[in-house]
Amino acid sequence: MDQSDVLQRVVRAAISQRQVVQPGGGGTKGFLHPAAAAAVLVSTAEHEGVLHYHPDELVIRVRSGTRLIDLQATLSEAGQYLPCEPPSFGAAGTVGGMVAAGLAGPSRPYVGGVRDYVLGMKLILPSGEIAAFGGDVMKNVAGYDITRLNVGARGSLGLILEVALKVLPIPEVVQVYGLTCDPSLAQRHMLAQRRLTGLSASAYCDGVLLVRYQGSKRAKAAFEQALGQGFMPVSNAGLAAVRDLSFVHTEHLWRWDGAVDAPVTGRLVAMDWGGALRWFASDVAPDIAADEGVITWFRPGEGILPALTPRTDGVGRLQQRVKTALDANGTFIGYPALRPSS
Amino acid sequence: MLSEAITSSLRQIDDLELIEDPSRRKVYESDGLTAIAQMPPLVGLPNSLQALQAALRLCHSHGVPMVARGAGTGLSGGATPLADGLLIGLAKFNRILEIDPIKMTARVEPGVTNLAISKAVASAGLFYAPDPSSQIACTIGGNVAENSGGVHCLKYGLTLHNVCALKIMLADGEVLSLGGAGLWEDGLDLLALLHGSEGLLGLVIEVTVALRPVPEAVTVLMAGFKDTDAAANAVSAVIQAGVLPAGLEMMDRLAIQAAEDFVHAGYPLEAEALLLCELDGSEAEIAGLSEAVQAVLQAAGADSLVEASDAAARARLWLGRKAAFPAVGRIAPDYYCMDGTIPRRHLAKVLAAITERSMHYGLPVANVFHAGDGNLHPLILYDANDSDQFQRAEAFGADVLAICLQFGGTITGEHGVGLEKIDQMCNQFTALELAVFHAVKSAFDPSGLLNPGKAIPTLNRCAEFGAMHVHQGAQKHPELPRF
Repeated sequence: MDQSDVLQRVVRAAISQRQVVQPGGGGTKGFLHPAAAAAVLVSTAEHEGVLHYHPDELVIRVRSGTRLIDLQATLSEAGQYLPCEPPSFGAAGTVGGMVAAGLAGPSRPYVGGVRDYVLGMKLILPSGEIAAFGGDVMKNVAGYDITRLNVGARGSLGLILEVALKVLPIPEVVQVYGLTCDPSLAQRHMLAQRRLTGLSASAYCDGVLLVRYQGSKRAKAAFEQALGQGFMPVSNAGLAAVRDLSFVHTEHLWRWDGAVDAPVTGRLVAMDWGGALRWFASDVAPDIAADEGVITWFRPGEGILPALTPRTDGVGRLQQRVKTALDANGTFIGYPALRPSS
Repeated sequence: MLSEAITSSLRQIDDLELIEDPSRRKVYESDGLTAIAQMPPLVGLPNSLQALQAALRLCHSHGVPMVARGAGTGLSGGATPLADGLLIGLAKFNRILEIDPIKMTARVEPGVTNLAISKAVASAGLFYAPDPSSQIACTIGGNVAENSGGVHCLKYGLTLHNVCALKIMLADGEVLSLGGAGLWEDGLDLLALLHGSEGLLGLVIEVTVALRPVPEAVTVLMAGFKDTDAAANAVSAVIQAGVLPAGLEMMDRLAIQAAEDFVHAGYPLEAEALLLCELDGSEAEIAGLSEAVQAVLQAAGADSLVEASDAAARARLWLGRKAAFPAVGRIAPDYYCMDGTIPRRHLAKVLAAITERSMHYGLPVANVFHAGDGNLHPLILYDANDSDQFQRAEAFGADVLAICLQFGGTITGEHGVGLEKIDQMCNQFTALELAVFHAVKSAFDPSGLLNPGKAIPTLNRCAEFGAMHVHQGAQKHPELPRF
């Protein structure tokens, strides 16, 4: 039910008491703010519900506290789905959390990420007032794209109240195929298979390359033929594990984002996005050549938190200027420092 | 006017061609929105990034406003010059720097035309998906600035969805790379923010676009309907059937007839509405897909149905749609192209409201519609030599945008705000929301020197615009360009 007034009062109270607000949802991704100081957690979890859904327009608008599993069930009933397939770190995960975290699943290189499916947003601004950007339509170029600026901003610019999303029809067939191989052979396959019609995931975990087809029944045989020898149909479980990062380990989890054809080095735990995303588990930052990608900290292990620094390059400084311009008084928590200190 | 001191300093920059001769400057006095013209006092055509940077630094340090221009095909006055600023043409940056068939990307300079990218990568079996109708001339830098669309947005997205990385130059000459080597970078998504920022935040100096494999098979279906409601319902039915067409376009009777008279595409002249539905995919699936969609269109009441699967026949069907604007231009001395988006379920009501306004103003209107994504282009027919008609066309256009807002849509789907719709921004956004836009601008361009007066109205301007309505549309500041 609508909790906008309550949330607005809470944010305004924090502003008047000079407390920093950390927006939250179901609490499943709190680890994304590793060094959150004495911020007041303001949860949107009760602010839930579908505001409108028009399957034939491929648009749904929901309150931010709507649980992702509820959204997915609603879409599924109408034969549709959320193509950016966000990871799930627990059933309580919300749409607002998905948007604020901006984490996309294995389909990212093929169909796009979270921001590619967000059309509009209503949010509580750092002033405590409520504003709306974007809309419920796919094409909309009026004003700067404040909606997408808030996707992945980790709550640093406002508290999201509503989100309008573009959704798509569920493909007729979804099938994952597996091939047991070493990481460098996996990468060769990944690079060779990039153009396959219907390819919607290409990931590597536990010594198995996982490739997913989605599309029509008729075109599936051609996909299988193009895959070649050795690939066997497997369940979705392996790919879900890569998406949800449900690997068992005790070290910190780091991500590397870079070029698909950068050499596979280091002791990686998994690869996703056709090789553009690689996961490493270690208590100190993995020692990977920095020129073709960037290492950032992702999730804590059992060891102490490594020293992390914010971006200090020109882009990092501009990002900070944007944050300061939009939230001069620091109402909302800052974007976390994620880069290993050298 | 620019001071002689500035002009002579600019003359000393290597690799910067300056256009001072008035007859040559006149070419740059407007973009595609020709109703607004402003002779630029000086046009600079840098031939190197160093020259561009030197020009920006000089203007920045002297407080001279700057307007960037690509091919000048924009329809909202985003590249209209300023009376006291430097117009910077980026057309000389027209090199394709790198094509990477493995990553399926192309790194290009901002002055490369949209179509040139697809042509250059065709031999690698790839294409660049966004295809604004001006793609033969418009530049990729301009596409980023406007977040341009086209007829294939429903399936392939806007420019935003097809750009992996940008290099930009800020007003003070600082160069930044947005979007990393991978698909995610930490921090705020400034790459998304630059799209559609209409040259107010930074100049695009390099674009890395994502390419896609050319589909194995393409087919186009054309269906005629006896009313626009039936056609709109057919669009819904196709999407409800789980099909995502590559393109899904609608034209109304006047647009059909104008296009048919002009290019003889074989359109059904008796139809009140026409749908063009392009399907693409693998060889194995296309025939089945086409059959399924034909069945849906027939069930939705299509009176005529034609399929074009070979390239020549497809091109013929598309020709009518792509020539719709010039075709309408043949039946009236002038037309004013509007660009609003609406939730498609309101199409019938919106078209009825537009028809009512058309009768009210006594000006005909032809409608072409990116039906799949709700982007409506009403073309208002008038004669610019008749000042009364001009005024009526202008008022009619404003009403169309108000209708789009009334039904939960937006005042611009893909043409941008520029100068044209700056007053309507006051209707779409509250003062609070506009203040957020101004804050973003201040982070990128604290001196406010990049393309001032465009895209985002000042709060004062909105206050004045609001007052204008009280006085029944009598313009308070006739010296301000408005169309």
